[in-house]
Amino acid sequence: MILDTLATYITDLLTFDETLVVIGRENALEESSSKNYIVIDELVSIPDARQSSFDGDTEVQELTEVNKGDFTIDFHGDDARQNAINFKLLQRSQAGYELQRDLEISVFNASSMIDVKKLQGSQYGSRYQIEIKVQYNEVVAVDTLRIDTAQTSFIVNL
Amino acid sequence: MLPDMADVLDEFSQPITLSRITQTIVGHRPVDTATAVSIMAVVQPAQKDKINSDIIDWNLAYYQVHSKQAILVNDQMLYQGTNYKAVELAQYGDYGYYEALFEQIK
Repeated sequence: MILDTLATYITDLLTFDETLVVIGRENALEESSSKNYIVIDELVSIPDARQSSFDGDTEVQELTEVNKGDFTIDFHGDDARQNAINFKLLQRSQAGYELQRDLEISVFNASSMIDVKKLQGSQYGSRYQIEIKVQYNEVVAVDTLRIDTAQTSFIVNL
Repeated sequence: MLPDMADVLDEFSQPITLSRITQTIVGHRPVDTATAVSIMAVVQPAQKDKINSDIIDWNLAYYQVHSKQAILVNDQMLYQGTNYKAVELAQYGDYGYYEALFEQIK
């Protein structure tokens, strides 16, 4: 799943504790407002292209969709702002590009960084949100028998 | 010296089994593990007009539970065939007991 892939991308890019990079809206408990954790969520994904291919030897058809999606990354805790800035900068590092290659995703550079705590009027708990665009593939493989000998019949009106 | 009110509960307490939920993050997702904890507690329907109006759901049942043993937020209770979750705590530990508000789990 793309959210899992993004979680791996962020964990490895920031060399973060993987138990502190969490996929959003899955009932994870917020233990404390000072703990530095990162939450990933998906806003919308729109298909860019579709493709299907068939392997006659293995008799497997692959259906592929190329999507471009908007994802939010929320940085929480005392180091929220610095972690958000580090993410934005490290995206353009050699390690960032290699991770994208290995994970087979394209992560476009993040632009704005929103101080959500100010928007919400919260008294405590830093929270900075970055929105990124990610291009990724979704693939499903279907067992499909190949046609060795086609049996066809023609209906002709004379 | 503060009065110990705990003995007041004994006459009205019944055995209750709580499921204490501990959460770990595995593969970037929360995984809940339940551990059974047996306590003696007084269970009575909560007065809804005294519950925080920001959190109350009028479609759900609420119970107020008093016990000499500590109750934690997210502890779950099976009571009369329905599951409830502790959503709010009041610390009367100085007086020998704990109070918790349990909300029905849908």
